[in-house]
Amino acid sequence: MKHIGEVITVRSDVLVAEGERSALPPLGTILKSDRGVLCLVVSHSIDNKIPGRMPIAYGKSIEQLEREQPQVFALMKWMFQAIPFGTLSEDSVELFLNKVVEIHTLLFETRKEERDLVFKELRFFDFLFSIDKSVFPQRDKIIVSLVNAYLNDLLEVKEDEYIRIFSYISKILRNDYQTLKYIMDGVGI
Amino acid sequence: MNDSIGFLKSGSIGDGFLIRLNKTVNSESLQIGDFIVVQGDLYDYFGIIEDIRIGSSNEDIFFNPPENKVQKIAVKGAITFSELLVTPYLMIEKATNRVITIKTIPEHFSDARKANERDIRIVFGGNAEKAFYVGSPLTMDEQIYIDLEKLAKRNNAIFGITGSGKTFLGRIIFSGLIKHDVASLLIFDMHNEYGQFAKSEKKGKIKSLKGLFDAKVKVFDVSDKNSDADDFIKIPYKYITAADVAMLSSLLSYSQHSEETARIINKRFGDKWLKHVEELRSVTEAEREEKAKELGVNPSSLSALIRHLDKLLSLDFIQDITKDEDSSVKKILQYLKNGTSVVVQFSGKYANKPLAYFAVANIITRRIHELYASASEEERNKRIMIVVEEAHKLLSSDIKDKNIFGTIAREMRKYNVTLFVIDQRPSEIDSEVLSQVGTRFVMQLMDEKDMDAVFQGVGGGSRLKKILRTLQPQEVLLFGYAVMAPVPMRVREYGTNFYDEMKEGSSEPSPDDADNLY
Ligand SMILES: Nc1ncnc2c1ncn2[C@@H]1O[C@H](COP(=O)(O)OP(=O)(O)OP(=O)(O)O)[C@@H](O)[C@H]1O
Ligand SMILES: [Mg+2]
Repeated sequence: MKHIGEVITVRSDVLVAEGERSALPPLGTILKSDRGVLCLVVSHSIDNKIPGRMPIAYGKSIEQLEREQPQVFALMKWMFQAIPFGTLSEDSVELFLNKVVEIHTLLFETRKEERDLVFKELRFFDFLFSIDKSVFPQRDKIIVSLVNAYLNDLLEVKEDEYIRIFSYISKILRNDYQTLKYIMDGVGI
Repeated sequence: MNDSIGFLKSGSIGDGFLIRLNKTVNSESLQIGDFIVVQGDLYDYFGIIEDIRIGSSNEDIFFNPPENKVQKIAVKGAITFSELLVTPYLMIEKATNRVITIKTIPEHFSDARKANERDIRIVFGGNAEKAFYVGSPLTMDEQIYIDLEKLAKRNNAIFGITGSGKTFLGRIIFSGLIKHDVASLLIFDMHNEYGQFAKSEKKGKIKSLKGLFDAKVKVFDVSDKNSDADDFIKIPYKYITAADVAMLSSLLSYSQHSEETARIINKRFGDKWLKHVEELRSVTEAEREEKAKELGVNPSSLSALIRHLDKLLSLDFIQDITKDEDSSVKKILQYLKNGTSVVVQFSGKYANKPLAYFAVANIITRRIHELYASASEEERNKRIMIVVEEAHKLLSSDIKDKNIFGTIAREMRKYNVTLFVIDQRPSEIDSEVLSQVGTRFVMQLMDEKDMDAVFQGVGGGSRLKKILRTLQPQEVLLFGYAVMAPVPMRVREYGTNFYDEMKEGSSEPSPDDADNLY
C-alpha cells in the first residue's frame, strides 16, 4: 500500500509529515503508522524546500504555470500536521499513546473497519474536544467532517449512532451549547 | 436491573426524592400518583410521584433550540432533563419483605423504577386477616387491599363532589364490613341507595346491600309505603328532647326564642314535653294562654313554638308510643347487637326531605348511643358504625357540640361506636371532628377550601393535594389508619364480579393465593 505521508518533525503534541502534491489527506482524516499509531490530520501547509527561498507571483493559471515553469513546483514540499491520539491493536483502539512515533515513520490510510473501532470509543470525542481551538481554529469543522464521513459510511441505523455520539458530545459541551449546536447542525443524517 | 427509569439525584425524607430520569425514559410514561421504588442496599423505598418536571442545565439552549427529534434526544440528559419528585412513605426490608415507615434514605445514584406487582402486593396486598380488595393503582391492575379491622376502629370519611363515586365506594366498603362481620352498620340512607336496589347512572337499577346480604341487612323506612322494607321507623315523642329540636332549628326556621321556650317546657315536663306541645296544637287561643301562664312563658312565644314545631310534629313516624318495645330504636339496636346491619331509608313523601333525614338520624343515633354507652362492656362487643351522608350538616362547627355526632366522633373508641361520614363539603365540617377521622377516602374535589380541609393536620398534605387535583371520577386518594401509605387508586368496579365475590361462602381473590405465584 502506498503511504500518504512521511513524518519529518516529531513534537510531543503534533507530527509534521510530508505528503505529495495534490494528494494531501483532507482535514479530519485518520491515518495510521506502520506500528499502529493513529493520528488525526488537523492542518495543511506548503513550504519551500530551500530555506530562505521566497516564491514570487507569476500571474498565470496553475495549468499554464505547470506547463511553462514546472521547476517552480519542484522547489516546494507539501506537508500536513497530524495529532496522534491512540493505538490500533487487533480489534480495538487504545486511546492513549504507548508508542513514540519515530521520525520518517510512514503514515497510511485507515480502513473503514479501523475507523469504526475508533468511533466505538466515545472517549475519542474527549480527545477531539481537547484540541486547542485557538491553535487549530478549524477544529469544529474537522469534527463535523469526521463525524459526517463516519456516518455516511454506515450502512444502517444512522439515527442511533447519531444519538449515541451526540449524547456523549452533549455532555462534553454542556456548557458550550453554541458549539454543540453548530456541530449537530453540520452533521446531517 | 434494566427496568430502571432513573436514579436518585438528591433529596431528603422531608422534602422527598428527586429522581433524574434516564434519557430513554419519556416523562409522559409516568404520571403523578404512580408508585415508585428506589432501590437501596438494604431497603426498597416505596413512594409516590408527587410531581414531574422538566429542566435544563444551560439556558443557552433556548436561544437556538434543537430542531429535530434526534437533536432533542441527543441533548437530553446532558442539557435538558426530566425529573420526578417522589414522596417516600415506606421501606421494604429486602431480606424479610417487612414494611416499615420511612426512616432513612438510600445513597446517591440508587436506581429508581416503577413499582411492580410484587411491591404493590407487599405494601397493599393485605396481610391482615380481614383485608378487603377495594381498588387498583391508577395505572396498574394490581389489587389494593385495606385492613377492615383497622378501618372500623376509627371514624372514616369519604369526600368528593357529586358524581365522583362516593356512594359506590361506600357500598363496596360496607359490603366488606358486612361480609367479614367486622361491624354492624347503621346507615342513614338519604337517597335510598343502600337497601335492596340502587340506581347507577350507567347501568340503571343495580343490587345494593340488602340485595347482596339479605340475611345480614334489615331495611327500615320512615314511609310505610316501601314494600321492600323489613320494618318501619316509629319514633316516640318521648325520645325527642328540646336539644334535638334545637339541632333542627334551621330546617324549622326555629328562633333562639323558641329554642328557649322549648327548653323551659322540656325542663318542666321531662320526656312528655313534646306530647304537651302536640296537644296544644288543637286547643283554643284561650286555653293556650292559660297554659302559657302555667308554664311561665309568654303566650306569643308559646304560639310561635307550636308554629315552629308544626313541620316536625307533622312527620307521621313521630308518634305517641309509650312502650319502648314498639319504638324502632329498640329493634334497631337489637339488630345491631346481633351483628345485623340496618339501613334507614326515606322513601315516598320523605324522599329528599332534609328535615325527616336529620331528625331521624339525630334522634335514633342519640338514643342508640345512650343505650349502647350504658350497656355493659360485653353487651357492646359488636362494633357499630354509623353512616351519614351530607354529614357537614350534622358536624359543622356551630352545631357539632350540640349533637350526638360530635360526641361519637370524639369518643369513638370508648363505646365501640364509630362514624362513617360521606360528604361533598369537608370544609364545612368542624376541624376538630375532621381530625378524628382515621381513614380518609378523598375523591374528586373542586373547591380549594374543601381540598385544604381534607389534608388538615396531615403530614405532607400539600403534596398529596397535587395528586388530589388529578383525580377523575371513580378514583380516590386513600390515606390514614387503614393503609400503610397514601394510595391514589381506581375504585374497583361495582358489578357482577363483585356480587359474585360477596356471595355467602365464596371467597375473594386472596392475596395469599397471589403470593404463591412467587
Ligand atoms: N366503583 C364503581 N363501579 C361502577 N360504577 C361506578 C363506580 N363508582 C362510580 N360509578 C358510576 O358513577 C356514578 C356516580 O357515582 P356515585 O353515585 O357513587 O356518586 P356520588 O359521589 O355518590 O354522587 P352524589 O354526591 O351525587 O351522591 C354511578 O351512578 C355509577 O354509574
Ligand atoms: Mg351519592
